[in-house]
Amino acid sequence: MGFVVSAFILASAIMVTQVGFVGQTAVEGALLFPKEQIRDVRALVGSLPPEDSDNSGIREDVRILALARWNAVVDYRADASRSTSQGYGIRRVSLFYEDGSVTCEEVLNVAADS
Amino acid sequence: MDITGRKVDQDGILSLDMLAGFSIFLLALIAVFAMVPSVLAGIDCSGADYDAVAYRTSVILAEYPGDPCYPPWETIPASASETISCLGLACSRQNPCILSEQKVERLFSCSDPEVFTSDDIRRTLLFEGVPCQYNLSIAAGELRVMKGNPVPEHEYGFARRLIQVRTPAIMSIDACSLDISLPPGASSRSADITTCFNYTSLADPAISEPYRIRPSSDQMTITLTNISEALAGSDCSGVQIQSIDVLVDGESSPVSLANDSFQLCIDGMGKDPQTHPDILGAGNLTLTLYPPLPFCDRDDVIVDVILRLFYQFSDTESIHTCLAGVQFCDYDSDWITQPSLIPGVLEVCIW
Amino acid sequence: MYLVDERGQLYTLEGICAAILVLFSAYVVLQGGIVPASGSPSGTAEMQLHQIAGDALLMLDTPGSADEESLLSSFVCEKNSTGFVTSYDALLEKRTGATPPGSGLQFEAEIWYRDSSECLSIPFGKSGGVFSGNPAVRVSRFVFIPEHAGMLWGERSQAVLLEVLVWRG
Repeated sequence: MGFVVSAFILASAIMVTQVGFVGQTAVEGALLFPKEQIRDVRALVGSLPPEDSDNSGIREDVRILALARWNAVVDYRADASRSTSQGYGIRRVSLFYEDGSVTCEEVLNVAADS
Repeated sequence: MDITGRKVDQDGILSLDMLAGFSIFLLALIAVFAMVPSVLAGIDCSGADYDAVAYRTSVILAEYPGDPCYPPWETIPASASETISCLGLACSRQNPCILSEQKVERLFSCSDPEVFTSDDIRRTLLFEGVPCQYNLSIAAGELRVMKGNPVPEHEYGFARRLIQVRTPAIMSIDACSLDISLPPGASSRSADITTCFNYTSLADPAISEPYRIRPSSDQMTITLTNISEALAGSDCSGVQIQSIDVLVDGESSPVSLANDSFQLCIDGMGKDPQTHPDILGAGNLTLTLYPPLPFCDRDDVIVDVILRLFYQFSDTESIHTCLAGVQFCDYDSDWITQPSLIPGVLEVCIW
Repeated sequence: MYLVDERGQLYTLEGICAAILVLFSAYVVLQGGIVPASGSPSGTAEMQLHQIAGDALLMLDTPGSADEESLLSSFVCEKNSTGFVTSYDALLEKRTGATPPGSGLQFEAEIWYRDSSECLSIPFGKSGGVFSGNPAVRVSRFVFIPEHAGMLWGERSQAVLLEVLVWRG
């Protein structure tokens, strides 16, 4: 019976030790969230001139540079431009970001030639 | 059976081996309990991590527009400040580190009594349960504001952010450009000065969001300058403000602007348009429209803000002039200074 | 009458095993407890550095009004590393005056660009301080270069990545 109790104490000790690690990794997960990188890609895509918002060369630049320097897969797809009811030209752009721990998908409306 | 004839078996008999094993186990258990104080010695709480609190506060101030966001919390009167749950200074979530000038002025206002007490700051920006002192400061161009206690000499938690303060559009109409001539014969006349807001053109997606004029959240200040010069030769005996109305395109008659949604100042003195103040000798007139502007939930309307003036002429024979005209508010108007961003820095100290 | 015989040996074994298990669990707790307690405060200083360096890049890339061009775009398009170093340094040193100025920040910048399918870099200025051994953070920002931008970047419009390594000097 003493053997059983001591085995139980060992199992509890292992579990209690893991509690400290869980707290630290949860905080690290919040601190290491790639907030700046996602905002940067969003700002670049939103600020492209209307004639370049579906330029495949720029898309390839972003993809290759993000993979090499950020170790992240970044891609965006621009739909055909359309006119809003007020007569402005806009285009929907779908953003994708994945760096192994965070996956982000977003849809933006950017100005385009009407 | 033993010598005395009693039955002998293993029940209730403590053998020496079991005693030995039990005593080894007890010794080990006592040794472990003796280690407990040294396990806990390395984990003592040194107090809150003030750097983390300062970082969190700086993120709330610089990147969050506050709660409630619509209507903006800077329009809530001081008596109802318990309804504000978070004091963020950013213009919007999509544009971090761009602060609204109205929000900064509201948070750091030095009025007596204070708009936000230290308890309000702790509840909305810091942690309510952590007793700490704070110092918040912003320096951007001419704007230098501070709130809280002076920074101490000893260690404190610190966070610094680079921000830009967005100043809203400044609308200034020279009254001399609004002169129109009237034929002689009338002894009195009403004339309108209209400011036209086309919400569709203001929402142009080609203009980036921080530089757009936003009827839903921007305070619009329309200043009419050089009034006395413009009316100098017009032979008026009195020019009174008759009304301030709003007209939406498609409607037949204007509606009055709600009393708490605007402020009228003549030469810096607040006036009530219901009292029909006279502006004949005035230098300038300022009409401040508080956000949200009427009908701003619809982005396809044209809203006219009409300042109606009533002129009385002493001489009916000569030609008179009065001020009238329509001014369009959009991004190409030369009478509007467009919204601009002033670079600055925000510092948060917690101890 | 025997006092020592073979009976009850399992009791002894059980006691010894239980003692070993309890001592081992104490060792596990001691070993695991040391690591989280000492590591927590050091991450905050790097976070602050990362934030201020990123804010400075964002501010350089946001012009004061709608009809101005972003400073960062003009520095990169013209390959003006001197102008970039001066402006970036001025932004990193900005203070409100409520606190005394701390130690200066040093930095080194480079631009990464794509050439067919590989990434190449060119240096883009440094602040002049030597690397002091303090931990450094790296911040980056994409910059758009329009077509025929002064013929310094080739003919096509492209996006390049400006990276700045910042450390406390």
